[in-house]
Amino acid sequence: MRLSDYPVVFTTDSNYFFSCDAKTIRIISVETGQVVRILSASVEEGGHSNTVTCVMLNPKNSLQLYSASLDGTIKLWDFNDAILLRTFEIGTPITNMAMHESFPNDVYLVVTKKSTKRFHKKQYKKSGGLVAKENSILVRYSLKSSRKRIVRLLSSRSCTGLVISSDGEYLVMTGRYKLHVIHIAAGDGIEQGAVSEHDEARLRTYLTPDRITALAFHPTEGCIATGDERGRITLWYCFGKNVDRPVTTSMHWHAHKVADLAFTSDGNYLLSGGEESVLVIWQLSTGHKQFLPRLGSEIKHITVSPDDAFYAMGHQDNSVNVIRAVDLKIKTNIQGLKFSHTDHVSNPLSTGLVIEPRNGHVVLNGLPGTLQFYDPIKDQHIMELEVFPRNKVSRTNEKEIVPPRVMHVAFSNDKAARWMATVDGRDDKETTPELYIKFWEYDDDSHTYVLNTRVDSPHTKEITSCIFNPRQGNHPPMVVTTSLDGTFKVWELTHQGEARRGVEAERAWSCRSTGFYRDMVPRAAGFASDGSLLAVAYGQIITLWNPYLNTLQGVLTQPPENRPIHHLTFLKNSPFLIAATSDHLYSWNLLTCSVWWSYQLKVDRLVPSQTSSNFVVTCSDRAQGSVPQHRILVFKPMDPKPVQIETIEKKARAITFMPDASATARDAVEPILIMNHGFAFEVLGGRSVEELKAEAEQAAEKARAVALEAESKKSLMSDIFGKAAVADAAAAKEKKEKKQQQDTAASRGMVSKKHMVRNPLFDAPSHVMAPVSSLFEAFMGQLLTQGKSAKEESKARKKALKQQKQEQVQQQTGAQGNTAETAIDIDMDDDAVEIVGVKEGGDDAIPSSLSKIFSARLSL
Amino acid sequence: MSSDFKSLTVKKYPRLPGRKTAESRYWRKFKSPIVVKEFAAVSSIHFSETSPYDFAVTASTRVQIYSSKTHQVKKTISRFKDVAYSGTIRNDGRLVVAGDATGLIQIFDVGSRAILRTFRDHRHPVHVAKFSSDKTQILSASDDKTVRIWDMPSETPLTIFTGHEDYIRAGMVSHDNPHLILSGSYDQTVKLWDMRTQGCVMTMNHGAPVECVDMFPDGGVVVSAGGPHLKVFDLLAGGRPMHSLSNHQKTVTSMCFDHSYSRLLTGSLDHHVKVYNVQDYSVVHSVKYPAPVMSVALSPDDTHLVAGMAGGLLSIRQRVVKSAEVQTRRAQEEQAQGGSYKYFVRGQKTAGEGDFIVESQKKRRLREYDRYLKVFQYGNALDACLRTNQPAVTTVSLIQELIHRDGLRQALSGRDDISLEPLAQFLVRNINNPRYTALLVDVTTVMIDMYTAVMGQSPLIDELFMRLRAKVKQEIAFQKQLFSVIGSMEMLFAKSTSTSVGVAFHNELSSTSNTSSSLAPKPSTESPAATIE
Repeated sequence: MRLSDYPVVFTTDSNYFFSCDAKTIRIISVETGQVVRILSASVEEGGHSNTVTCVMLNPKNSLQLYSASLDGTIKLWDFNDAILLRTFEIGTPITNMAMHESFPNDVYLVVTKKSTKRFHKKQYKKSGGLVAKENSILVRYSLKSSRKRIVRLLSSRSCTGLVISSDGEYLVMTGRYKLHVIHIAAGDGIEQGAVSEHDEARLRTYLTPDRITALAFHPTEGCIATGDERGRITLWYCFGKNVDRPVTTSMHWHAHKVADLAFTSDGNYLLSGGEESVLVIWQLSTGHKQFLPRLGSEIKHITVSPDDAFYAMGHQDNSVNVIRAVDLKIKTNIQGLKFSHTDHVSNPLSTGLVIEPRNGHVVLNGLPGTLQFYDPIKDQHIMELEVFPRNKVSRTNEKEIVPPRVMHVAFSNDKAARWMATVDGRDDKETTPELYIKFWEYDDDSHTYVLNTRVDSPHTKEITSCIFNPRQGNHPPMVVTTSLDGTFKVWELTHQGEARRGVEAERAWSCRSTGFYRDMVPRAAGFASDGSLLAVAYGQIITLWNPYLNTLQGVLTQPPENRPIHHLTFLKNSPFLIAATSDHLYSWNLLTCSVWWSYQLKVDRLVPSQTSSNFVVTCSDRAQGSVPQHRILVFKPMDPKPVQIETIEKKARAITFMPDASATARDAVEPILIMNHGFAFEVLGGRSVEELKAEAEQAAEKARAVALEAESKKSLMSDIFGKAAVADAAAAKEKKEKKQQQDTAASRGMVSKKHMVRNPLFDAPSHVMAPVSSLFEAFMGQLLTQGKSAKEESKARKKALKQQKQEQVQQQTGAQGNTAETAIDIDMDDDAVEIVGVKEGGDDAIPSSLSKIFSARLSL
Repeated sequence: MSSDFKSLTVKKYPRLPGRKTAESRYWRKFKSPIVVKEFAAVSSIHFSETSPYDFAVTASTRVQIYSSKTHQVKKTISRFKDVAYSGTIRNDGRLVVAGDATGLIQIFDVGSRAILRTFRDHRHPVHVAKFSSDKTQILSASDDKTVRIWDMPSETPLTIFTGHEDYIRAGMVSHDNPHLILSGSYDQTVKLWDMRTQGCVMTMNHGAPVECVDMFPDGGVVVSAGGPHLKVFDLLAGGRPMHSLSNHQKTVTSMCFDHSYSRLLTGSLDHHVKVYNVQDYSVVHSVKYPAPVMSVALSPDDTHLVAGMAGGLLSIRQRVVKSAEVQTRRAQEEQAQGGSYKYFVRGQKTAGEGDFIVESQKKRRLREYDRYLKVFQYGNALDACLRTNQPAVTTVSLIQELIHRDGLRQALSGRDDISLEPLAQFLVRNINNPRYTALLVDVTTVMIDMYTAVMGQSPLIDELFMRLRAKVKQEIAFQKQLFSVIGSMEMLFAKSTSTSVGVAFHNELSSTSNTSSSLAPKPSTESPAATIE
């Protein structure tokens, strides 16, 4: 998912928002954060064939959505049913789009003449988002087919923003140091063609000393806000009298460039954000600033919902935060795959894809210094673990702050995955490099991994691998690390100190032994599946050790070639050891200590299966022609003939086997999970890919249903009095009839009180709440009808329950004579039901009396 | 996520094994010894069991009562014709009994020092004279090989136990049963006597002349000291020896228990007092004294450790008790007093099952350096950390954080000699700590880099730089020595290992952190030296 490349757009009721995710558009519920619907899901069904850059609600019909894309088309969707209504061909990549309700048939577009391909490349290099667009051209496109469709208005260099004023008079476009204001409603503007630089009546251009990066138009006044590279926000009052000499106000808080600006719909506040990860809320009349700091990642886009209730922020780390405007608390947080948006040079995918055995989630590098747990099937963020805890601060000068890196992660092989080992560090090339091994234990209460032991500089040089001993049973867990300093170390969990009364002895990991072989450098290590044998690859030599006795068991020397082994792995339940150098793949049989078979292959990655003795290899060879071919091969250890061959277009970034609990046949190849070149997950092969997808789809459907339900339940009433007040009375009662029969009414009151305390609406000051006059209708209506229906429903349920119980009693008494006791019990329960029923009646009397009071007051 | 400001995480290093256990930290709190010179060897020290826990010190021909508050002599009882022994205060703190070398046993009133009773039947020196747990009786044991129980009001012996074949130098009456008497003699045995059967009921062989015996309050286990050995016997198993310890080099002269009978202290002629944990009789702490220890005692409230030495020195060590400890002790005592108002209203503050508890959110107070870090004032943060006497590890963590934020130069810049001094001091103090060396060398390099231009302008800073240089040089020399030792040791190891490939495994004792920092080659350490030069 690429959630935050382009700004999100809210629906008119502010319950959902649209997010451009590469070629698709996701509709996400504000309430639950679940994806409700996906537009443009596939190219075959009429979706966009390139990145969607801009979406906009149809000014004529707020249930329709226009989307513009780099494939040079604009599409009109009915987003309720995800139906494509129309497609408009422009022909050149569209980067910006603006429309206004006063001329619904015209759309203003910024298109770029650069080829899509190059644009795309550049975009990826800068890890997503809008980048400098050379030679932008502003065009007007008529959606009505009768006239000349495309009118070229203006060309500019690298457009960064395009807005139309709220009254539809002016169109503002920014490009580099220029602010262009075009009077589109001047005369019969529609008929006019290109705007020339000298046409002062229609075009005014203002120059700024710094490159403009953000643009917003004041919703009620003639005022434009621009943000520039140096962090300054400038308000331009350039309409009316001040046309030639615009009055400007500048506000400077940001230290880096202003990434985006947004006005609230009443125009009293201006929101700005940038690299500092701080949302600044400017009160325009007083100049007062309010800050929302430490948002986790750089802000790229800010959107204000139409009812001013939410602010949505797109972040650099591929996440969208929706915050409530009243108390500035997080409402919803949606996160995609973070690795796709980090700098891949300083933060490579060094962990690869690691399957967490507990839930089968994928674990990989997230933001620098963190690990992300991700569900590849549902395409869902699970959790983020800060391996290297830090306060993210923005740079003070041009030089970027060197971030920490997570190099390796490994999980213990027991089902519960109790332990996790990580290797992380930071090297800024100036000070002493930091290197840590950290051991984490799973905490059942908080459902996350908690740091147990940190080892400072465990090795003097970089660590090349980190693996767990896979043995089962009651042994203390064991980890082996190999390092460029020539040693490998065996770590084991030990008890430190003595157990005191009631307190267990402190557990910590410590180094058990250190090994080395001549003065060579180990690059890979592997454990046999029963944990009794440790193989460490030193250069082209494989050394075999007993990890318990610390003895060298044997040495396997590769056939003559001087390429060091990069990958080394044992296979589950087989005596084979697979080693890969940069251009060969060897399968060793440890029973005969000989090479069983070998291949000449350029191996990029080698991953063994967790459940069978298969292993998968990605390789690229230039055998045919100059274009390298990328292949994925699945082997069995005995046989040099691959079980499965897949050819892919671009190099896979990472690969692993998916855990598949339902795999039945032993020989079946498990599904293979690939992170493709575009940072999306693909699943290859395997019997159950479709099923998994379907399952995921079902789950998603369920989630959507929940989201919709939550949406429908939400009302002004529930906002005020909490959900419990209008909750299904019968459901609440069923619980209570067994527990507290006497205090039903009292405890009911308390429950609702509890929820009232939690209601977020009350966090806000009273003066921002809706006026009582607008609340009253909803309040009374809801109270009366809801109460009645609940009562009826509860009665119906009660009846059903009673019947059921009586049947049970009959059955039991019929079957056995001696179940009199249970019968009595149930009888008592029945009595209780009746008591509660009476109380219910008492309860229901209250609203009616309330309504009387209210109506009396109203008539007064 | 508008997450909270993460305050500085101070690094934690593992405790090194063998140093500073909780136990030794406790016993080290007995500090500031007051040494008093007596006329001759202090043969016995005994604490009163009632507050204010005064103690009787027997040396030469007198018994002195010391106040544990002022550590001064309160009373001196010197009405002995010969050397006095075994001055003991009765558990109500009113009476003192002592024997002497003529065989006389006297009971004194603590207040008036008047002789209240005299017992004259022993013909040889009486080394043991103690009150029985029955308040009206006393126990005496003498070099005439007899143990006697006396009735105090009538001054007559109730029982005479004969059976030992040599001098009796140790004895006591069981705490829970005044009929049981324990004695230890130079005939190398410990005997248990029963007044009801008027004879010896158990004999345990110690294997050396017994100098001191003691018994646990439940009367089941006996500890005897004699020669350099300590033996523990189980009375319930018929005197079976449970432990035999010989942690002392010379004869153990004296023993005492702490207030809870969980630790045993022994004083020996080898100048040491050792503390044993009675669970496994392991030595948990040991205190060295300037002379052979003749007697040792611990006050009933565990605040005073008094040792008497052969040269006549008396050492009093006091542990300052925190009010919290006093309170917990008091709370323990006050617990479970049924019938009181407190007992009646107990547990009213705990929440019931259906109660809705409103949790109060505590506002986190940031430390001063954290507050500066939060507003990016790196220099001030460093100053605050150095100024407020934080432990070195906090400062080191802060410097690490500054490096992470790319703010080290900013923090070090713009300082004059006064404001640079604390940091330079810190570097001088800690640069040779193997845990911090790598980081502090980086800091030093940056500092030297920034301030070489103004070198020679301030004598204060110049002197600090010279000291830093000396320290680094010294450390390098030390590392070189270490390497030569390692080299020679490796040669020995290589000889002794059987593996032929030249592979050596060695278990790493030091765990978890800085596994190699102290032994690793440190070329980086040399760089500041070079720069300073």
